[in-house]
Amino acid sequence: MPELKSKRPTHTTDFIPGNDARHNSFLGNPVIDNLVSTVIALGTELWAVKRRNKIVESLLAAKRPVTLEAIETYVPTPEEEKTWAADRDAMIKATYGTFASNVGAPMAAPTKERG
Amino acid sequence: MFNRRSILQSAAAALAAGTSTEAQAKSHLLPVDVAPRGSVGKLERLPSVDLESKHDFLTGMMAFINSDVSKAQRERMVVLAKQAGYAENQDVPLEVAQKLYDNDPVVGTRTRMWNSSHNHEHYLLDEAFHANADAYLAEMEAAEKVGPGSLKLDPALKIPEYTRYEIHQQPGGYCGNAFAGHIYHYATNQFYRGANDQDERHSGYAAGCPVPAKGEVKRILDLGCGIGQLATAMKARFPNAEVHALDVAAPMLRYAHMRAVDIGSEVHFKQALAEATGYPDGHFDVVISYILFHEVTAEAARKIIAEMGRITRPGGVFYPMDFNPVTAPSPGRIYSTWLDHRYNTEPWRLQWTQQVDVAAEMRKAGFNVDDQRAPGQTFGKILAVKTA
Repeated sequence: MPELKSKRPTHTTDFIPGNDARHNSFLGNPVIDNLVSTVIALGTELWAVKRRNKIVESLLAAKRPVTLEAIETYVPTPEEEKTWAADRDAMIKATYGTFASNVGAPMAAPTKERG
Repeated sequence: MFNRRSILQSAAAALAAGTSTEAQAKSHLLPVDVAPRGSVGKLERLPSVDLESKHDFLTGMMAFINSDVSKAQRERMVVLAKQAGYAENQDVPLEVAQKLYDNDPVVGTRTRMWNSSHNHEHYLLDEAFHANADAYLAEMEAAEKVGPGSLKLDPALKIPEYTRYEIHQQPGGYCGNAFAGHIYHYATNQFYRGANDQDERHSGYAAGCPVPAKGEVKRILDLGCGIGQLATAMKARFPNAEVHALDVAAPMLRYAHMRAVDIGSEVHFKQALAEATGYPDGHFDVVISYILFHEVTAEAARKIIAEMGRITRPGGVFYPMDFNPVTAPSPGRIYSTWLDHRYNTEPWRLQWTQQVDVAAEMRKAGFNVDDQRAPGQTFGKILAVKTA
């Protein structure tokens, strides 16, 4: 948790750390687990850039001034929300789709046993 | 340079000057409203467009994991179970399921992706709210001085150990992070795949809540209210009733109250234990709770049910909604339920589903019980009506 930079009361109490999922290896090698986490984090960064581009394009199309404030406060139209969500889902499917493939036989089996 | 902090400062300055921008025009009723990007309906927009976009991505990612990746995992689980000589829907000991799936890369991929997405969402939100901690704490402080509704915190309350875990992997849990409510709100909206931004889920539960056969609904309690979404939904359905909401976690209650003030909903929030609410006997016509019980120990659950028997009036309704026991077991379901318990930090989920005879405890507490939990469903409702 980040350091709290405020002297105001927080009304918090001690907590018991219970989240070890971020450090646990589910893939037999913690480096591979970390790579998956990194690939997902990179996806968030990429989508942030793509969505910012979409906002700029919308402002330009509407002939509105492209200022940082206009970008930050832009509210997508319902139609844009729908289209952008579809674009996002398509990007996720195209980029991460391989993770959704089931190889059928156990991958740990030697190649000749898998046929 | 236009950055996150400058937006906060310009928003505060605009508020002080009485000016209005597109964002602020959608701000609501708070005396100090740190919503630099305004609100969409009931939901305040996240403090930067980049954070909003990342949250949007992780919401889409979670939907993808829970559909496509989970489908591959389920198919894989069936294959592995069959290869080991188990039927697809066979009830097996947890140890057997763990041996089948613990080291499988397809099963592990889904688990890793789910946890990494969830953790990254929490990380981003935690960083964002802490980055402007003083402003967000000031906003909650200001809300505590105004209505509608009220907030009663109890600094002397001894917070039980079982409530202090990092439930759902949330950093600091509900009690240990000043922004627990903020984080919970947006992170669970990711979990709801974006379909609860306007409290749609809670409004639906409020609409479906049974009412006592006789007498008015004058007083309602949302037990284990968290950030108050169900309480405000109940107030919307019963505008003339006095709506109370109780939780053990002060940070969650502070956010809940602030949000209720922001949307103009009169709810009375109170910090107390669900096992010892402090309300008078027979005080409530309706007590409702949403996903409280799987987050308490079996011992606490039994005490809470007894307490609800005490504070619900004769003929009154107690209506908890929560996770069901696994009634259609399979090696995959047994393993997935354990994964949620172990790695999503749901320390008490298995106690609730395996050790508490809910209907028996309700009868012991003086309720007639209509168990509405359907076999095979992971989530269900129980209608308990207090006997005269």
